[in-house]
Amino acid sequence: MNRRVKNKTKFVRLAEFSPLRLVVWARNHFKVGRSSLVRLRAEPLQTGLTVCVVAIALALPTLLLQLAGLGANALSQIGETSDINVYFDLGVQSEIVEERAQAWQNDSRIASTEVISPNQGLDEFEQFSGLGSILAGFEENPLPYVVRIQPSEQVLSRPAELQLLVQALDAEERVDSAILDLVWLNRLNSMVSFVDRLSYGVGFLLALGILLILGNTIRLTIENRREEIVVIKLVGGTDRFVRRPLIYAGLWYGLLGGLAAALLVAIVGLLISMPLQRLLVSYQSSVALPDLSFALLFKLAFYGALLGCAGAWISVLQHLRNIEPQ
Amino acid sequence: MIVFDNVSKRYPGGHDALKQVSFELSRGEMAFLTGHSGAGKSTLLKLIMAMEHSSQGQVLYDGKNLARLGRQGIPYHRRRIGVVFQNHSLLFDRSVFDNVALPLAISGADPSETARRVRAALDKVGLLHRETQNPVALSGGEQQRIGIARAVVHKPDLLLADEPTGNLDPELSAEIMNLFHEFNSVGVTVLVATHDISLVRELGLRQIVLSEGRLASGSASPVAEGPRS
Ligand SMILES: Nc1ncnc2c1ncn2[C@@H]1O[C@H](COP(=O)(O)OP(=O)(O)OP(=O)(O)O)[C@@H](O)[C@H]1O
Ligand SMILES: [Mg+2]
Repeated sequence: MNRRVKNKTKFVRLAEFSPLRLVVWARNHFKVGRSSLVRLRAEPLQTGLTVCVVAIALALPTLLLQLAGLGANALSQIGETSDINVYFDLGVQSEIVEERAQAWQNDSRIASTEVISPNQGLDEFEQFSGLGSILAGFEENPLPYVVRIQPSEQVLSRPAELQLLVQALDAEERVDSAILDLVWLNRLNSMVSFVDRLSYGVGFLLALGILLILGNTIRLTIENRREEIVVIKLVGGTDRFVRRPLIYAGLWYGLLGGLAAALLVAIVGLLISMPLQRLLVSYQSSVALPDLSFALLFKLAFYGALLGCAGAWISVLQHLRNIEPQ
Repeated sequence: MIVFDNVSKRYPGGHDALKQVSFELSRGEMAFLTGHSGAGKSTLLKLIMAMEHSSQGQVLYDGKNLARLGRQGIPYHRRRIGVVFQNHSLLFDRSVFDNVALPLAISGADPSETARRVRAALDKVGLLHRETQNPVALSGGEQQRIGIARAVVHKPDLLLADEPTGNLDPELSAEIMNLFHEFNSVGVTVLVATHDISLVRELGLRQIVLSEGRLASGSASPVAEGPRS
């Protein structure tokens, strides 16, 4: 009998790396993974809430990142146009504006001019923003005459000269201001990179949040299963055996959360795609809307699962050691 | 198989639960551990299970010092022991079958082998027909027997029981003691802590008697003494 015991322990140690052991190992993992999923289903409310929180926390930075990507994409298209908009004072007569435009046309630094009447401006704005009804509240059209000037290639390639031209136009009589498109282009540019940075910052914080939330969920799970864990340890369950279903629970929460996040991103994308499309048309740009790709789905599921495992690990390391049969 | 060599156990509060206890339990032997409440019976069993560690002296299992097991070694040590503890009973979130199968699941036995052994163990305790039920639906005595099936399903070398007949009627108690005796007759070493002196006398087996943490009698040879307290 003594020999039997020795052989048994030896078997466990020796066979650790054999192919048979590998099959057993894989089968056990499959079983544990499946059974922990079944256990999550047994508590739909808890599971649903946790998955929702994870989904929102993953979807938010993803949406921000997509927004930044969209902005950058749009910028790269409209970056080529760089008009100077000359805004006249309110109430300036159309003849005067036309006359000026004609005069500027003869300037060698200017390639073309285009007069935009207040009514045209209004139309454009309505198309732009879908906010036409706000302006409908005004009795008179509040927009001034605008002359859109396309500088010549020569000037465009020399920022200093371009600056001089803008200043000259700005200083003209009856002109309220002359604004180089590049100004707001730059602003838009820095906004895009700000949103880009922001999405990483927000993503980092929310990843931490996910870790904490899942860690806490797993802690509650451990608390609920205390009796079971004690019995398992009493009959010779290793730390690994006790740990495994808990890590899998974390993995499932994260994975399901990631998939739900992909769904959220898709829904939000669908909701904003119509107004966004209109906006893009008004900018004469044809940026393709980011649609939910498999790559994104996979990424969200992967990061979700990763965070889930990590959160479960942290919790298990903290709380499992103290549960011992008394 | 089990050697207690001058073992003392002091709990963190400063209470000495065991004082210089020395005895030996040979392979294939069956013995009872008796003594008044608080004498240290459960403590002694916990030392064998490596749930507690001795403050002084050594507990040897198959010649190996349990103090040197380490955290990694403890589960493998426990797998060689079957244990029936009153307060650590069954899990009510799963069937009788799954409860009994737990020790096999832990060591990763394959499903057909598991089913065969679980049914054999349940048959042994006369509850094979209950395998699909939830243990909640069973009486106290039946639950105790399921606990015993779980303790023997993986064919342990040693069977430990802490007051296994605690709240059972005399008839059922005798039945359970007979069950232990049967396991012993097929080679399992058995150590049972109990208050039930009449049952112990009936079986006429070795008695290890503790009193206030000291060994009162039964250090080596079979004796049949009355209670000391
Ligand atoms: N975890 C613990 N911490 C401190 N003291 C303990 C602990 N466990 C047991 N004791 C003390 O050790 C002594 C022996 O306890 P033990 O449980 O071994 O007695 P027992 O013989 O099993 O008693 P009973 O027959 O009532 O089960 C008791 O005085 C008890 O108060
Ligand atoms: Mg006791």
